[in-house]
Amino acid sequence: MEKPFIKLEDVSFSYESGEEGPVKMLLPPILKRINLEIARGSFVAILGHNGSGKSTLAKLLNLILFPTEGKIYLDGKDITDENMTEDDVYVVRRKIGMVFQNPDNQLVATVVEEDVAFGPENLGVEPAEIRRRVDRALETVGMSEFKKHSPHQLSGGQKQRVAIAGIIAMLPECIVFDESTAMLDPKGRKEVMDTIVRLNREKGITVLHITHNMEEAFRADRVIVISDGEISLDGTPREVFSNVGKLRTVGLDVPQVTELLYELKSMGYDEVDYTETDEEKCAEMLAEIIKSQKGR
Amino acid sequence: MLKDITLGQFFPGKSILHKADPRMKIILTLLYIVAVFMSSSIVSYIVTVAFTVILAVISRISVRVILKGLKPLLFIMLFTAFFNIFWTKGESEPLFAYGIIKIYKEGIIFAVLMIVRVACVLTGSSVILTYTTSPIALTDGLERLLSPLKKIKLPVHEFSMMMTIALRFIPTLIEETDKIMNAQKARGADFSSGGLIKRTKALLPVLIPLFASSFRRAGELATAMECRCYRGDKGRTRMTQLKYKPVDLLLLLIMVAYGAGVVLSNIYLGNLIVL
Amino acid sequence: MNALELKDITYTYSKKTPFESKALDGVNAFFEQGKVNGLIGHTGSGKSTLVQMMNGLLKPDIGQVVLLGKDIWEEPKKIRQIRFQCGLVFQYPEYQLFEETCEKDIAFGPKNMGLSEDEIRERVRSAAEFVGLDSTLLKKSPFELSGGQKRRVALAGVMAMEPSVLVLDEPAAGLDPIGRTEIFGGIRGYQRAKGNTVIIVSHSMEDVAEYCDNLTVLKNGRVLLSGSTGEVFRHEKELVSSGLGVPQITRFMRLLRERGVECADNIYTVEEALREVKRLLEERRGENA
Repeated sequence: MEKPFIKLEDVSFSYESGEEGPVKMLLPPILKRINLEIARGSFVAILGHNGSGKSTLAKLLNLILFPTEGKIYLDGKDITDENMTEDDVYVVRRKIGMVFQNPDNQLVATVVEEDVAFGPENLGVEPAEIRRRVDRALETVGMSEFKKHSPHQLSGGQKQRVAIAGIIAMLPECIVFDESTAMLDPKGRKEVMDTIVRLNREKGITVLHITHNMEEAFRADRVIVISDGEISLDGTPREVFSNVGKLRTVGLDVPQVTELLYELKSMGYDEVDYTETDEEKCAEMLAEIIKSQKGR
Repeated sequence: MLKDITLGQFFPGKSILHKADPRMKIILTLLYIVAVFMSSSIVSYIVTVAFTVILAVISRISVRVILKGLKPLLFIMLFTAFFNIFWTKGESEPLFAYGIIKIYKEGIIFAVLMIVRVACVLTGSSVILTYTTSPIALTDGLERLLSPLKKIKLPVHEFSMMMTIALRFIPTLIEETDKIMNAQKARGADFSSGGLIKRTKALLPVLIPLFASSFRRAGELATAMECRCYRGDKGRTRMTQLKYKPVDLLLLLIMVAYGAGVVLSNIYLGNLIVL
Repeated sequence: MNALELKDITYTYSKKTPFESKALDGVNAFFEQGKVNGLIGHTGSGKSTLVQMMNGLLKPDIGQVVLLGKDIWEEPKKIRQIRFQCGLVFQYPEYQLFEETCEKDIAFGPKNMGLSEDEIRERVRSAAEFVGLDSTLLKKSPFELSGGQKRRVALAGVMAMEPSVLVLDEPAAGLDPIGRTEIFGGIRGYQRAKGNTVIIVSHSMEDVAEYCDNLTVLKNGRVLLSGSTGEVFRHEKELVSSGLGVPQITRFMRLLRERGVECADNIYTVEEALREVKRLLEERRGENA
C-alpha cells in the first residue's frame, strides 16, 4: 500500500504552564491522542468550534508547535524526530505552506510582487527563477494586474489571495488554511474558496482547510470534525452532515436545508433523505414527496 | 481619511531620475549636499541654483509639489534669515540704523544666501531621492550599499527588514488608530478638550489597545514569516537584482561636473563679484 | 414611530483630492422604534459610512440625521451627548478594550456620561448580565479572556450606556456558531428588556433573517430596498445582483415553488419553512383521508 502523505500517530499537545518549577507543568491537553492519515492530493476540511484544537493541529504540521506526545510523519519520514536539523525543519515548512486568518498580518513587503517573492528568496532560489515563480503564482490566484500595488490598497479577499500566491511560489505540496476565510466578507470568501478549490483540483496540491463554515466544508472531499481535542466525525461531507444531532452537540451548524429535511425526517416523514447535499435535488425530492401525499 | 496620506512622498514616474539605481541615487544625494554646502561665491551659488532647477525639471515632479515640500520649513528659513539680517555685522556703513538696530549689506546677502542654500538642498535631495524613489527601493538600496558593513557584524539586513516591515505596517496602524479613536469616541471619550495633561490621559484608551494589537500583529507576522522559511539573510537571494546602468554613470558624471563647477568657481571666480 | 431617520444624506470622502469618492448619495433611511432593524450591503456599499453618521462621528455634507425627533447637528457642541443616545459597536470591538479589568472597561462609557458611582455599578452589572458574562470574569483583565468573551465585554461596554438606539457593525464577524448565538442572544435580551431600538449591520443573510424585523439594503451609496424582512427577501434577483443574496431556506422555498408546490413566498427562517412544509404535507393528507 502507498505510504500516506501525512500521518499522525497518537499525537497529543498541551501548552506548558507559565510557572517555573522543577517539573514541567502542563495545562489540560488541547489535542488528545489524535490518529489521522491524509492522502496526497486530497481536500480535507477540518471543522470545529473555537478552542476545539483545530488550529493547534495545523501549527503542529509545519512544526510551529511541537507535539507533547506522539509522532507525525510526512511522506513516511518522522518529522518529530529529535535528530531533525534546522534545515530539515525548513524543508517541512516549504512542503507544507500555511495561510493564516488575518490577511494583514502575513504580508511582509510594501509591494505585492515583492511579498510573493519573500518565500522563494528565503529558500535561496535563483533570481530569474523567483521572477518566473512570482509571475506564475500571481496568475494562479488571479492577482497579476495588482503586482505593483501596495497591500493596503487591496480588499481582504485580494490580500488573502496574495498571501496564497506567496505560499504557492515556494512550490508546496500541501497548504494549510487556518481559518483563512473567517475575516472576509462573502465576496472575499468566495474569491478565496474558488482559489483554494482550483489549487487542489488543477495543481494537485493537498489542502487542509480549517473553518467553521459549513458551506465551505461541503466543497471538500473529506470532512473531519474536531471537538475537545478529539476527532468526533470523519468522512465524506455527506456522511458527516448526516450526523445532524452530533454536529449540534459539538456546537456546529448544519446548512438550513439539511436542518429542514432532518426535522421532517424526525417527524416521521421517512421518505426524506436529509443526507442529500445538492439544493436542487433536495427541492426535487421534497416536491415529489409533497405531491405524492395526494396519492396515498 | 488618514488612509490617503502618501508614504515617503514618492511620486511614481518615468524620468531618468526615477530609473536610476537607488544606490547611485543615495551616493548622488550625498555628493550633492556636500557640493551645495561648499558653495561660497556668488557664481557657485548661481551654478547651484541652475543645477537644482535642471534636476527638478528632469525629474518631472510638478512645481506645485516641490513648493509644497518647502512649505513646512519656510518658517524656520525665514526665522533664521531674520536673525541673520539683524545679527550680522558688516564692515561698511549700515544700510539702515534705528537705535541699536543696524542692518548691514552683508546681513541681507547672508540671509538671502542662507535661504537659497536650504531651499536648494531640500529641493535637490527630494527630487534625486525621496520624490523619485519608492520607499522599498530606498531601503533596498541602503541595505545593499551598506552590505560590506555586514562583515564587521553590523545588522544591515535586520535593519533593512525592520524598515520594510515598518513601511508596510504604517498605513495599517494609522487605519487602526483611526478605528480605535472612533470606537472610544462612540463611548463618549473626549480627545479635544481640557489641558495638556487631560488630553494626554485621554489618549490612553487609544494607545493601550494600539500597543496590544501591535504586539499581536508582530507575533502573528513573526509566525507567518517563519512559515515562509525566513531565517535572517542566511542563504537568502533577492528577486530584483540591482545593476548599475549607463544612466547611473551619466548621472554620476553630471554630478561630478557640477561639484567641479562649484569648486572651480569658488577658487577662480570667487572674486568676480565681491560679497 | 421612527427612532432614527436619515434624510437625503450625501457624503464624499477626501474632497478635492485625487482620492475623492462619493460614499453616500442621497440616502433616505428610517429605523423603527423598538424594533431590530437590519442594514445590509456588500463591502463598499456605504454601510460603514452610514453607521458613523448615526452617532455623529461623521457629519453629512448634505442631509439631516434625526435621532428621537431631533436633528443631531442642531447644536454641534453637544454632539458628544448624541453618542450616549445612539450607541455604536464597531466591527471587531474587542480591539478597543484597554482597562485593567472588564468591569472598569464596561464602566468607561457610563463614566464619560458623568453618572454616579452607584448608577455606574448597576449599569455594569446589568450590561454584563445581558451579554451573559459571569461575575468572576468581571474582575479579570480583558486581555486574559477568549475571543468570544472579549467581544461580549466590548458589547456590554456600549450597552452600559443604555442608548436608545444601539447600532452594531457586524457583531458576529469571525465567531463560531456558539459565539454567534451568544452575541445575538445578548442583543435580543437588551432590546426586549429595554424596548430600545437596535440596528444590525451584517453580511450574513441567515443572521438578519433570524434576528431582524425590518431591513434596509444599501447599494453603491444608495438605498436599494427597504421594508419588513419578509418583503425585502422577496426581491431575490435584486439582492443577488447587488452582491448579496437571500437565506438558503428562502432560495430553497423558491425552488419548491418552481416545482409546482404552492408554498408561501415570504419564508426566511427554517422554523417558518418547517411549519409551511408541514402544513402542506398535512393538508394533502387531510384531502386524502
